[in-house]
Amino acid sequence: MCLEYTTPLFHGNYYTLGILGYIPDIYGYNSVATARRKLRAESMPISIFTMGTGKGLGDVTASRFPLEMARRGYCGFTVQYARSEMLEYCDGEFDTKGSHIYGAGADSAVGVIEANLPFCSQERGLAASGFSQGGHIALLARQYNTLISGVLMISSGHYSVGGWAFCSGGMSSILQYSGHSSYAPQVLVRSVIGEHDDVFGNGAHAFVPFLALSPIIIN
Amino acid sequence: MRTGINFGGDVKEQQRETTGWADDSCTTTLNCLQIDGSGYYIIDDSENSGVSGHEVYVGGVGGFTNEWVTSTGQGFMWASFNWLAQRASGAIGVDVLAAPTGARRHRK
Repeated sequence: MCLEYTTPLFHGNYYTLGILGYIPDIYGYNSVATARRKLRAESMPISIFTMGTGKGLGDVTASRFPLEMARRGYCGFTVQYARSEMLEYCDGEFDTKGSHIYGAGADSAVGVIEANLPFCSQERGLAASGFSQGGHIALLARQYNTLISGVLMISSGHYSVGGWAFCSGGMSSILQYSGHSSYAPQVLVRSVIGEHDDVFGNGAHAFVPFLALSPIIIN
Repeated sequence: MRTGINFGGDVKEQQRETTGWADDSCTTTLNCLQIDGSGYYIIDDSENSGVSGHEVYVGGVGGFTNEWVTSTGQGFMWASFNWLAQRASGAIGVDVLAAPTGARRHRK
């Protein structure tokens, strides 16, 4: 049994638009208001999931994944972030998204969660997970919050040659292990992905370049 | 055949580059999870009802593949979130689920 907690519009800052979360009902609370009485000393760790490019809080991942963490004893949340479209997916954008969600400020998503739900405490543990672009945010977020002690990426990858041509170059380096290992060491990170992922992989069993499908014109 | 966006390289190359785990650290070609559960796992068609694209979890059981919500395999939801919950809670520890939660409703 978990309690659902939602904020239709989260005003913490521009980059975080909404929160959907679940709270373990391990003490038999029947409302969030009752659960607020729980002391911080008995607080529960926090889990934040970030969705993929262009997805909203109505996506199946937004509700199911934080609920899974709530069932494991966490205050589990999905944070919807602004500027999630593909061309808003470069290194400068990531810095802003990561800091606004996980940063130390009172207006970050984590800060707002703790202020409103004092029985949720990142000092008890902070888990970062995400799908696709959201997985990259989770991976890179630890530079803004070293309390993150576990990162789960779902369908997120990187290849330094050829990708991110629409970005300014920094993106390619920070997503390589050498670019983020100083703050997100290997032992904190687990990644799961499909064998034929067509965004962070070549998709098909036998990749056929676009040019091979083009008609040949002979004059 | 889906070709998608593809940021370059195949899935394993991208996982190797992102996570930093070299091939000689892997158990199999697709399973590069370490003893502590970190690393990467590549889900094959044959273990997920033929689904292994970008949205590797998407299927007909409440929006998820049956395997995503019921499998105890290391690449799927139960094992992955158990690992995350244990790893991130550190000293205090939290409960892990003894079995997958399946396709129960996830919204009130």
